Amino acid sequence: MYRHAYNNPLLEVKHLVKVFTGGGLSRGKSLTAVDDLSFEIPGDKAHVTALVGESGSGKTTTGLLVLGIIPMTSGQIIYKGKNIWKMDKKGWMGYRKEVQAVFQDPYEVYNPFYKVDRVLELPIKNFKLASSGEEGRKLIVEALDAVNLTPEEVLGKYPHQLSGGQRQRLMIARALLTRPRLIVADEPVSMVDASLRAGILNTMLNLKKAYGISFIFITHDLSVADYFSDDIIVLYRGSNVESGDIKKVLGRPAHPYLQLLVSSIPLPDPEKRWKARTMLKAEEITRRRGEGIGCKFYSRCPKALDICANTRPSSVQIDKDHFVSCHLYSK
Amino acid sequence: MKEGSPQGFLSRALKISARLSMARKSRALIAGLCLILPLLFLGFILPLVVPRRGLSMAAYPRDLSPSFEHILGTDSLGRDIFTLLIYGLQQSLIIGLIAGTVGIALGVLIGFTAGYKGGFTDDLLRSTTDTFLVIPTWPLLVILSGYLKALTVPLLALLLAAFSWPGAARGMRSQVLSLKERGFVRLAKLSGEGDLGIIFKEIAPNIFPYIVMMFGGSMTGAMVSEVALELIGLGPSESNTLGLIIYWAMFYGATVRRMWWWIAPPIICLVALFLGLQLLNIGLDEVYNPRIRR
Amino acid sequence: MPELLNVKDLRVYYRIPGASVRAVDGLSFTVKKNEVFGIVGESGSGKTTLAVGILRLNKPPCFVESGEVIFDGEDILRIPEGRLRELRLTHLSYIPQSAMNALNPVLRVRDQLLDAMESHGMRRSEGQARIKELLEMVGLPPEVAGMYPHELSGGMKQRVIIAIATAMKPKLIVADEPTTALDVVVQRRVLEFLLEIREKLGASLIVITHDIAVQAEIVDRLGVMYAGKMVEIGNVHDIFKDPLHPYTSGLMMSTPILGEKKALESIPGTPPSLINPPPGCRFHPRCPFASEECKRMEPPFHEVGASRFVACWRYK
Repeated sequence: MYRHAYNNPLLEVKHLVKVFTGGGLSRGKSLTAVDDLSFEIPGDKAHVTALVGESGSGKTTTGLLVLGIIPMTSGQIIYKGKNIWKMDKKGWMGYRKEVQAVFQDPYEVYNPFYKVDRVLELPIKNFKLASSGEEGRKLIVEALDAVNLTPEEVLGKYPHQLSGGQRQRLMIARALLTRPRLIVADEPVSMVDASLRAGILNTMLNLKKAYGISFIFITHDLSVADYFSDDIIVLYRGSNVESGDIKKVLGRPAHPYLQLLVSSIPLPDPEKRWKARTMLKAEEITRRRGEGIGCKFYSRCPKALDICANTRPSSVQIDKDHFVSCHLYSK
Repeated sequence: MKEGSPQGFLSRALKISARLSMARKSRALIAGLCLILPLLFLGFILPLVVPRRGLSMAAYPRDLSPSFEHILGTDSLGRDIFTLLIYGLQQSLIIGLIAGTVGIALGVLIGFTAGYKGGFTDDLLRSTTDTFLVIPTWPLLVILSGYLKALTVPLLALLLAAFSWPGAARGMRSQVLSLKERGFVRLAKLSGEGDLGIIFKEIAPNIFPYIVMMFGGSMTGAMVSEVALELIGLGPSESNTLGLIIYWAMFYGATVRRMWWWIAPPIICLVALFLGLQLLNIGLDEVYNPRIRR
Repeated sequence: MPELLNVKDLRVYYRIPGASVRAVDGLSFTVKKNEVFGIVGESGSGKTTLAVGILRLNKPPCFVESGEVIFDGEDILRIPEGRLRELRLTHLSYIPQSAMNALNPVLRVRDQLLDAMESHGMRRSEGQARIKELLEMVGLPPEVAGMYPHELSGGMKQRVIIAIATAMKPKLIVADEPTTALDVVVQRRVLEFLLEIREKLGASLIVITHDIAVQAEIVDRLGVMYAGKMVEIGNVHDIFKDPLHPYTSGLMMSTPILGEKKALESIPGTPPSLINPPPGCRFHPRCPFASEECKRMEPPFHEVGASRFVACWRYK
């Protein structure tokens, strides 16, 4: 439908840091949600990068930073060669058009005061996507069609009159209106019933194929990430601990944290229960660690070495398309 | 779909009529209106036709029981009680409205700015608000009322407003803080909405009902304070308020003398006023909060 | 087969002005002694109402309309209040959804454990002696006894809940979504402790969750719930290998398995209203095999093999 290939990386995130502090006059503790994160989204073809982590990993914050909704503490976010925080108004509008989002909570994203149509009308109005009401309506119908919704089903209704699945599809339709190049999807199916998730994921896969849209897919669910993504970045407390081609990384996880995760996820197959496939078992380890020094996973790591207590591991390539930050693999 | 187009206008008119039909279904709202509207009529419309003569002392014979000429009789100072009631209601309502409006306006402005701006502005405004909150309202009110020679109704209203704004500011700030992080605000930003658009179109509609409810509370609070001041003799003595009627009634021992027609009506009016405002609050909550609608 | 719990044709409705929400509408199943029985269902299936109903914990407007819940020979729904109180916690134990948020924030863990034990007849001194043992059973260090709930992580809180729920050595534990909101690594540990305790006590465990993967990991037999009814019951291995009911197979087809390349499919449509369920088989609007019979008549829930039950006209 519309494919715009771009030879350089589409998005470059360089040394991204986000620190949340307690506030001006109060001297509260600070929280480093994103800690020196760097990654790239290629531009030559549609690509899905999964950003995986548990709660507190910083994955949602990273998404908000990439979208430019919250300011960063330091680092650079470069889109098509331009730093997004240094863009002029026109450039910024262009960024907003090409990078859109789908959020997790299909209830929260709708202002209960307005009918759901508004969610579709706002981008059309603000980005001047249509020159007449007629044209705007056509765009809306097109977008709804791409997500398998009919206008009669959803238009003219209030948010509480639609189901969670319908609301989520509508969100995706909204994201499509501006013909984005990249969609940041933050847990798009975790609040939707299991039997309806596949449909929404398949819809998004179709968008990738038909419209050439790339995704940053933020999730805690490794199985879903595996189904949907090409690459994976595993976050632990704001840092990238392992990344690369998703089949490689999940097939042979290197970092102890990822090994722990993969061993712990429940598989919907009674023939392959935990006992039969544990790579690494969680232990009740209480190791004290100085604040800010050493590997973040040290206090929970069953394979920790002495060096882990006081030196941060740096990224090491252990295979084509497979990187890990762990002293076990340092040369 | 532009705002000014016929489609925009029609959809807005439809929205308003939808809200009105919701309002019709709320029993609390209707009950509240049934109490408030007659009181407003009594307090604002009737004074336009009822002559002030009945307010002067010794205008009529004292202590008359209710009769055809004097619906509520006369008090021990020779005034027509019905006239007193009408004008007293008017004055009490004015105090409530001024104090409520000014207090809320100030509170909303300060609270909203603090919540939306965040950072240093927030810290500064919040400390100021908290300082004012800590000041003991009642003793200060008593002292000021006793000290000021010419305490007029408007002046009292402003004084009451000065004590009610911090509460509104706090409430406003916390509402704005929570709304700011809501998904639909983030989504609006992504859809290209600027700050002003977000404030007026996303946050304001969700806050408006809250403001109206705070107003009801503020108004009630102001009127209660006024009555309390009157009862200890510190209210504005120039103008006649419901509280003042009660004061004189008690001064002249109306209860002991079984002059129910003197002391009961102002009390009933006050109770009806407070009850009506509360019911309006509940009703508005039903209209605006889709989750508790029947 | 020794049966511990026998639920017969249970109906639990919510009475709201003008209508009844038929959350549990004629449901039957049995739980054997010493087994883990799973009940899987999505939102709107009525599974939490089922938990509340079989333990007679319902409060108005939720009413048990009809049916029997025979626990070890006694019908829980008909025994007097006194006997019910005796049975609760000593024989029957319930871990509600979000239980960890219901811990009393101003009491230390030790006191909450003691309170639970005392209210069921144990003397304080006896209880004190057991605390360390209880904490050990759930893998918590003895220091936890002196801590407050807010000092504990989610996983630790849930384990305290399990300790409270198993303090009186119950024969049946009903756990409703015991690990939602917990991180995956913590989830495994909590579930493993729950299973360990169950085994030590020789108790039966009913695990209610929408997460079919969790069911696959821990249960012996599985019941599939849809729109207030049980649509399939069987041994967990059999059900996953060969799901009979179209809803069950729909669930299997919509769940990804890490490491396996398979296309996923959604079940079209949405769950039905429990106030006005569709006539005939409740699943027919979404079923690829629906026939005229399915639209008119409700299929009976009957045995089609060794301990295998299904409610579907395709298996007569």
